Order: sequence, then structure tokens, then C-alpha cells
Amino acid sequence: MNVGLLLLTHNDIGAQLLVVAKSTYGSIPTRTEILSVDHYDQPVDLIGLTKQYVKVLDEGKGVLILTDLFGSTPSNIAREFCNSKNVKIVSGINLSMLLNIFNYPKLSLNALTKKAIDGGKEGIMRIENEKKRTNN
Amino acid sequence: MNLHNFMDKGSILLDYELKSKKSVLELISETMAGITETNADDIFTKLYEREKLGTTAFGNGIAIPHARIDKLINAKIMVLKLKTPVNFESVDNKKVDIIFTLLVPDDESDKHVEVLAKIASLLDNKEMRKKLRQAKNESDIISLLKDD
Repeated sequence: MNVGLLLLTHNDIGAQLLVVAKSTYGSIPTRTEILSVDHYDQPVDLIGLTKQYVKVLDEGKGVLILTDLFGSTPSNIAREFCNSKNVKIVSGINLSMLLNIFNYPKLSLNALTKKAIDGGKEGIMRIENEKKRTNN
Repeated sequence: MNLHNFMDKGSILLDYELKSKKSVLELISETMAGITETNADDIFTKLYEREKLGTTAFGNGIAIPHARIDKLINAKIMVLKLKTPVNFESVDNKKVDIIFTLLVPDDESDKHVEVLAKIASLLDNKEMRKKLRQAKNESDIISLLKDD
């Protein structure tokens, strides 16, 4: 039994990240669903959908919702679930975050939430010329 | 909501012997196309696209392929039981022998996820999975779904 994962993002951001993650690992070790939000969607409708997705994904260990831009519609929808005991929410989804989550599918919801944040942050760095950096 | 209301005659297939995930999705697409008078290729493409995003084999030998289909009039469920479990890239690496497929009209995303949640919660029940595996015929399956 693993934590479930809901990618609640603008348009196809979540789907595209998932395609790359799946092609990297070959398979996905957690129940994962995607809820994409576009400018035609009414947030109030999507709150109901998110609630149902949480039911689909929760096997008993809870659900981690990943969303993109903090303060935007997807993250505001996710925020409605802040007080749900079985849900944790992380914004700023990136590929590094997603891959780190799939590296640790057996973790608890709290521990996996930390891995998501760590993985996401670790993926952001300034890329420099290795040779030049060594010389300096 | 009772799941058997989404089923038709011919939407329960038992003791099939199939070799792969692809052949399972093909059989489902052909059967569902016959029941719903839609196109089997369209159904296969939608189900296959969903699987590309991550498996619907949610563990414990169960898969729930699901998709929204253009031109479908009513939501439909199909149950397929396999004699020999097949590899379905499941989240727990277990092979799959019970497959609940859900097709929903394209504009009914609320119903899609509501019915999906109902199927997932039904199949998360260990006792229900055991009873489904023991079911010998269509009416056994219908009774289980009616009693839930």
C-alpha cells in the first residue's frame, strides 16, 4: 500500500511530466491521476472532482497533491484540502520532484511530502562549466 | 450509486486467457464498442493513452482502465476476469486478473471520477476481491455488485 499521487496542474504540465517520468523508470510505483485545469474550468467544479480523485487514490496511506504555481487556480483548488488529514499539498512541481517521489514509493505521506520538496529544490541549480569551475 | 446499473448484457467476461496488457485492452475495446455502438479503435486509443501516463493497475491484481469517449451516450462498466494473470505494469508489480473498465461520455468528467472512486473503493476491499475471484458466472458478479 503506497501513498497516492494527484497532479493538479495547468493544462498538460502534469501529464507531460508524468510521461517523461514513466519513460525514465519504465513504470510508475504509485496510484497516480492527473487533473488538468484550463481557463474554461470553474474552480468550484474542480474542487468536487479533486475530492473524488482523492477517494480513488487513497488506499489508506493518504494522497499527495502536486501542483504548479503557488497562488494560481490549481494551487488554490488544492488548498481547499489543507485541513484533510489524508492529504498533503506541494507546489512548484518539476521533474526532479516527481522522480524523487517515485524513488521512495513506500514512504509515509509526511516523509514523501518532504522527499517531494527536497527533490524539487535539488533540481534547481545554476549550471556552470565544470572545467572552468575547477580551474577557478 | 450502484455499479451494476452501468452494465449491460455481455459486459461481463469470465475465464479469458490473454497474453498481454495490449491484448486485454484490445478485447475490452472490441467488447465495449459492440455494447455502446462506438468505435473500437477510438476506445483502444483512449485507454492506451491513459495507460501511457501511468498504469491503472492499482495493486492487488486489479486494474481499472478508464477513459472519456466522444459520442458515448451513457457511462458503461465492463468486468473481465482472466484465467491467468497478466503483466499490467502494476504499481505493486503483481500481475492482474480482475479488470474493471469504465467508459464515460466525453463531457461527464464529474461522473467519470465519481464512478471511478466507487470502483476503486469496492476493489480496495480484500473480502470483495476474494469474492470476485471466486465468482463462477455473470450472476455471481452482478449479485456482488448489487449487494455492495
